Amino acid sequence: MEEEDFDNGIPGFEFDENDWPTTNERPPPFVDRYFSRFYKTDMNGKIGEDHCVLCHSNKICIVTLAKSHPVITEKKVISSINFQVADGINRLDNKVSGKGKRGAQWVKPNSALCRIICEDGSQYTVCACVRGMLVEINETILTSPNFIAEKVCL
Amino acid sequence: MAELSLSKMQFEFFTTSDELALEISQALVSINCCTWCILRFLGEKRPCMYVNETVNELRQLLNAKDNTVDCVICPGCLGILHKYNASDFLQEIKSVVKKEDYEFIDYQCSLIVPVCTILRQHSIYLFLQEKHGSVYCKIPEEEISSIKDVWKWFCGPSLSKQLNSEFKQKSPFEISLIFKYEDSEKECYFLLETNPNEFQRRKKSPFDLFTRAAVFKAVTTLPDDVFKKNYQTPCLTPVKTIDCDISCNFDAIFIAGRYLKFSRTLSQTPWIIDGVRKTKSSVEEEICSAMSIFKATDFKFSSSGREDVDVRMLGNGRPFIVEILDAHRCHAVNEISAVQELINETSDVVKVRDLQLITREDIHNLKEGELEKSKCYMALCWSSSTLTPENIQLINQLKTIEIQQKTPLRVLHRRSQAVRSRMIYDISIKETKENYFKLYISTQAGTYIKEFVHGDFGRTVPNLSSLLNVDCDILTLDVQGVELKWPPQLDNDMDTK
Repeated sequence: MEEEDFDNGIPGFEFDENDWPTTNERPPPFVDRYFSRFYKTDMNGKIGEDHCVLCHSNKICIVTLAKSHPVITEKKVISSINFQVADGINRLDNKVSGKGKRGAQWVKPNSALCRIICEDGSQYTVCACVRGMLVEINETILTSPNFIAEKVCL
Repeated sequence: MAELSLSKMQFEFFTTSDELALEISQALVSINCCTWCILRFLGEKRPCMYVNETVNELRQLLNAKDNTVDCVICPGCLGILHKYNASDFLQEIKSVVKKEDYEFIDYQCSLIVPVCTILRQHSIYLFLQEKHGSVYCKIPEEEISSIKDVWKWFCGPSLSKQLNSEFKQKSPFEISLIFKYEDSEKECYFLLETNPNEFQRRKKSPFDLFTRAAVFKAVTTLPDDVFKKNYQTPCLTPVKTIDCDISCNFDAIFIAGRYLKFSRTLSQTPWIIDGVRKTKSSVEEEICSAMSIFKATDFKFSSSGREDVDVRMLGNGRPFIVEILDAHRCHAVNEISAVQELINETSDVVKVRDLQLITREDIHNLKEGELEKSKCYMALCWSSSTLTPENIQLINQLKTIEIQQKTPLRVLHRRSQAVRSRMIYDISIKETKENYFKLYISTQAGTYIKEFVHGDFGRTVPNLSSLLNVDCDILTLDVQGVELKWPPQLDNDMDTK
């Protein structure tokens, strides 16, 4: 039997007889209901380049820029993202298949995932921060690179 | 000897000549065949002839031994016909049935005989062809009545009397007599050399190596001279005795219905990880525990799709089937409405309706059209900014939309990554309360509703947030209907919340 996802609903919320919540408080955001946030500050020794890794209970991690990262704090405009992180390693070549995600690129905490190039010329490397298999790249940032800077929290 | 004669006994043998019949009988007596096997090898196929008086008369006529009394095991039936035929054995069957405590109306009796009987029968047949080719070379081996049939003809009526029940071929209550002979496999070993292709060793399991079908096929294709070279013809009188295991089984009973689930912390089937229960019970257990009146060995639960733990199942409910295995109280099928009442009265969180008996042939209805069917939902959602009338109108005016959903992150660990195209057939926002709103949506089966609302990091497109250009989140989800017109609705009243 497959493991069902134990969506515990929203703890602390109560509903009246018409199924409306008894409060108008904002529910805890989707991100915080499913994910735990882990921060890695000053990645690779670069001051201020803080990453935030969202970890799901099923061990899937999403690597994001922390609110304190210069791209966010200095409101940079991203012009492009480069996925060719080394000779012979292009993150866009990543192809996974099956439940076991065969064929995925293996990354270590200081493996580079991509390089952000901003309009003002500054460049920032986004690192994996965790060990694991690269499952996918958020396709939205391929067409709208600035998405990384815009969506701070869902 | 005197007054008895074969012709007077009015048998129907393969040969019409009394003289030949006597000679054949004596040949079989000489290899220690029991009188029943003699009768069947002679060609008698009428059940009425396999009765005590007739068998005894024939034995007298032939001046043959009584195998059981003289402790000589018949090489043809290994004792099944001459030893396991008396009232003591039948009483043993009766006591097993009684001990296992089944309720039944009629019964069927099936015998499983050792595989080596195929070889033994064949060898006797070849022996008879040698000695009396004029008769047996014209008779195909299939014409010889089987051990199983003869046993049933001989013991059937008495067994019926003992059990005080009628024998019916397709009865759901089956009494199995499993005869085991220790050397059965050993006798088959030579086939591994003569017919190596027939016997594949699967996973080193010795048990299923000599299957009935494989041995039968090998024996029928083996040339006579090869068979005779490898297997004693006629077969030897067995030295070891046979054993019999008596067991009972009641055919599966199928019950269908629809269930409603009012809890947001109940899984559909038992959810146990590493020995720890994640939810206190499950829909399956709430339903199956009420079926204890069947006194079954086990239950199998299946349904037309399923909902998450935190999703309520409302409306007409979700169709399901329970397969009741080996019920000891089959008369409980008359109490199904009582079972439904029991579930509805004892459980707060699960209700059942349209509970009814179905047949095995009806089962396919459950899974039919699972992919095409549509489901309707009510989602309680939240938006970061209160929805304007324009927002609401935009949604309500939407016609059918096609969405592309990447495998949701929450299930990505156990499903392969893929993009699934799904249809939204109907969507509307009917009520709002400050930042909360109720979304009514009807979709193709297999659509992930939660991901459609919050977008799953942009992995479901379009999504509600992108359509409204407002961040949305989903708090609760209810399934309002599963579009399947089966099982048929019953008239009994049922309050649905």
